[in-house]
Amino acid sequence: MLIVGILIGALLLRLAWLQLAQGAYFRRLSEENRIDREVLRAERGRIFDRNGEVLADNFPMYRVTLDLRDPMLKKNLPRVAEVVQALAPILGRDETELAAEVERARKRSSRPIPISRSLSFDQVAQLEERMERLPGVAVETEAVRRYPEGRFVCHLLGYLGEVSEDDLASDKEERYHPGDLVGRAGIEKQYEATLRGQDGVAFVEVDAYGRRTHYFPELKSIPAEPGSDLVLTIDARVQRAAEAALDGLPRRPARSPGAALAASVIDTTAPGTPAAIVAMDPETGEVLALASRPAFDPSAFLRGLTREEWRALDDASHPLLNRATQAAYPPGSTFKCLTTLAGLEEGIIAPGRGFSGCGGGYAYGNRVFRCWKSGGHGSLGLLDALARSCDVYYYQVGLQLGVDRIGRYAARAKIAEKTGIDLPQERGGLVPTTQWYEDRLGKGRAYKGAALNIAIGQGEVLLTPLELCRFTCAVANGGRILKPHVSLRVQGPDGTARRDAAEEDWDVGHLPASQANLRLLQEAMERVVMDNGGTGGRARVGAIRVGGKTGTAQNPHGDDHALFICYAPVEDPRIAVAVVVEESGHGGSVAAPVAQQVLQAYLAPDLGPEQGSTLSSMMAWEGD
Amino acid sequence: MRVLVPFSLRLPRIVVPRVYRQRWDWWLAATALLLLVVGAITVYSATHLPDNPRHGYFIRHFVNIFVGLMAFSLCLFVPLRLWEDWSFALYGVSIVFLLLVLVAGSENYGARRWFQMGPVVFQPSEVAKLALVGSLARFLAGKRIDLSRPAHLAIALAMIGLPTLLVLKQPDMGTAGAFPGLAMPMLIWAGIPWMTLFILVSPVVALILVHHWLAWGVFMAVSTVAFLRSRLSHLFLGIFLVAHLGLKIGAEHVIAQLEPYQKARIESFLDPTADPTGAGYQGLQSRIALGSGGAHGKGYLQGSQKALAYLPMQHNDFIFSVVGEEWGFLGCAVVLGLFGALVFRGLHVGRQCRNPFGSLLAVGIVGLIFYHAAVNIAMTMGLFPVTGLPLPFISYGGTFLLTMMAALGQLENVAVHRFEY
Repeated sequence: MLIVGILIGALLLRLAWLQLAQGAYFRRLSEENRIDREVLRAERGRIFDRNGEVLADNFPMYRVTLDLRDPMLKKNLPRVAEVVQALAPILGRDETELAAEVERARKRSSRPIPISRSLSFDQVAQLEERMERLPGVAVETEAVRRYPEGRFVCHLLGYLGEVSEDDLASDKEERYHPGDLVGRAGIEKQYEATLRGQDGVAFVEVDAYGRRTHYFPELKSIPAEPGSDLVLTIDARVQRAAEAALDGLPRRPARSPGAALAASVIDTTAPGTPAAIVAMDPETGEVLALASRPAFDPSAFLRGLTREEWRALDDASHPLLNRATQAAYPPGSTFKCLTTLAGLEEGIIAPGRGFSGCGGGYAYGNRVFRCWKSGGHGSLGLLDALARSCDVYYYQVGLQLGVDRIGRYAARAKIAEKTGIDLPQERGGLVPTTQWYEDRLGKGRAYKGAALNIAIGQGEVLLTPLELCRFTCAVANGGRILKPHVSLRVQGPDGTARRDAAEEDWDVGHLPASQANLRLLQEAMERVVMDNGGTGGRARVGAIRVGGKTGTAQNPHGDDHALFICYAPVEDPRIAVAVVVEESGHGGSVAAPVAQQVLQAYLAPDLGPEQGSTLSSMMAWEGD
Repeated sequence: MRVLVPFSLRLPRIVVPRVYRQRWDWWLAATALLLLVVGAITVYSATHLPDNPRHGYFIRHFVNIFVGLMAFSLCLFVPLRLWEDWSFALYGVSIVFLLLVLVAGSENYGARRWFQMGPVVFQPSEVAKLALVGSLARFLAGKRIDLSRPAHLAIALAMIGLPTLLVLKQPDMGTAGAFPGLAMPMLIWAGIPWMTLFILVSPVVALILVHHWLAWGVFMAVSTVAFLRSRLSHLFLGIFLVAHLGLKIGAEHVIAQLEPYQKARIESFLDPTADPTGAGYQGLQSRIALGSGGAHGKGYLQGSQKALAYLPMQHNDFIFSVVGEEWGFLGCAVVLGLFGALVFRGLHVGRQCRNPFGSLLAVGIVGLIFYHAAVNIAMTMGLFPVTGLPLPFISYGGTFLLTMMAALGQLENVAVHRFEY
């Protein structure tokens, strides 16, 4: 009882101290609300390529905020409207839109409202001049994301956008504040938590004009924790070559009026033919280059796009889509590599065994399945059939294998499975099975001849460029299926490693093929590029042994897609590449030269562009 | 003339045993009722913003009070013998639920504390509090139990320690502290030797004083004197001093290695829901609210501080600061007086009770109520870290109110039957 009495007495004493002795002081604090919480922003982590080249860093910029707690604005909405009216023309913003934004922010919280960022010096000067008549307006500096080379690596890096009101409402831990930037796509989104760091907080006492007088002594401030830096597996040299090769593709005219606007906004230099390329290290699964066209400038999103600009983006050929991981294409003849493996494993094909010769077509059921070469290839062995990409040969392999056996090998090779790359919104591919057809068309409705189409990568087969590249890696490295990844190292601002990809295991399976059969496929793929009758000759780089496969996929919506997969050097593979160019013709003539430039940039950077591809310029390469 | 009422129209009479009318304890019932009234009034004010009246909370608070009254009645009439017989089983069940909630509970701010089933929230730690009171009372009421025997003391400490550790793991420091908090008066009641209690409490005191060499030295000197005056051998004193020196050096070493933000984050790790930004902002705002109330307060519904940033908790953990802002020192003193009256009357009941189980039960319940009230009020006044404990009978929050009303029902039950063996 005595203890209880003492405790209650102690509480009463403290109460008297707070309310009676210090009451006046607290009353003043409460009335003037003099203590404010100031957010100390954490600097976002930088992004480097594997050799330390900066892909994204931060740069101080001006931004303007409006503090409605200013005594001139407090409970004085007409005055707020005047300020908004004065601000809008200087900032080049729509007045009604800005007023609505301020109104929404006013209801949400009492903190200063971020109005515009990335101001020009001219705008800052204009604001400073009028500061007298703009109560509550403040110009401050902030660290803003900078992408030194604009569109370079844009799809992989992604972009930042201002945190939305929904995000703020669901952010229970209060990690984000209005006006914060948050990763919306690519690496910036995937590694948001790593890059972001943690904001700190300081307590300041403010005077009646909202100006800081001093830091509040009673509360310790928490310093911000800067975000971690990220080193990517990307090799900027290879990436630059890949992007240059894609930009060098023949232009396709813009099809819609919106595309022109989108191009002017987003992609100021080159609208670009829709295309994608992925290059990987076949030993480790590290992505050396990844590019997609058309591209965009990630900086454009920092200032925020207008509604028209967004609509234009929708209209155009989807520049924000990362075609390397988010778009699936019919693989065309590149799929014959998998058909070959399945045929060899099942004993249907063998090096010495031929099928009935190619006369330009193959009659099955009530139709004729055509070979791309209308004149026909004649009778071919396995190696030549792949090198010259004879469709009739593979129609017969497909017919004997059947839809489900091809499907089974595809599943075990994980060729159409999402690769699990550390990028958001990856899309998976499709290799149909009888079950798949029956689910869609009804029982027993799998159409006759499906196996023939699947065997040459047509019909319903769809693969992403990334999946094609991973499959090529597995063929090159002796069958190991790898998980592609783009993050090489996470490190602190001082360079100490916090996570290292080299310490992790990236093997996720093995191709369903014996070493002997894999070697046969490798030999056949080498002939595709190195033989004079092969379809992929334009991928040759000096004397380096390159293995590859061309593909020309029929596209029901337009021209054929051009595809090419390859790896080099054959004896010790260091790079595998997959290229898709939309609606542009033959794989051998359009896609292979793109891959060639990437191979050369990585394997033989010293060779001049002409030396590298002399052969291809001398000879006209024909075929898919 | 007699009016004849047909048999079928006669209302059934609820039969209340006579002892409930003879020995009904108005002190307990009336103080608790007044606290409930204060609570309802304050919850209304705390959730009532001039331009955004939210009556939802107020209505739900009434529903919670109604459900609480049903729990109160249930615990009032269930015979104490039944509580005693089932207490160990209830303890076991509550431990199982505490384990389950760690793996299957709903996650909130990184803590797992409750199960969510549609609109119903079940918080196992609340049941565990009542279960510990019952089972510890039963154990300590045993005829041959002697807390000066190490084995008996160890069992009692294990019973207290198990739920404490499980709740710490959630993590929820404030609630974890409730178990030792309610057990301490029970152990004292059961006759734990003062020196034993002192040794048990000393590490906590030492950790609080870890930053002040002088205060720590004074504490050690006082301990030495206490040891020398007791009949314990000097060997114990030696062990005690060496252990404390080790504890101090170890704790200082750990603290010295932390960055300032880590310290703040550890505090918020111990109770992540209490202060998401981890810097005592809520605590300061609470003190401003309380202090600005002055002697007589700003008047009902006139508080301005409640509209500020710590809004999510003001009808809950920080409700006492709303009382302080609107009713001033006067109102706060009344609330403290009501709690004091409830506690003193509860202890009085415990002393009068002739049944050892009932007596210990009463003391445990008083401990439970007092722990929450004292820690919560100390927290709003900045005497205690922000731990996120609600104020009994006053805070909004269904599960906790239910526990408190059930505990009050048991206390009244003990009071009514205090002269029976």
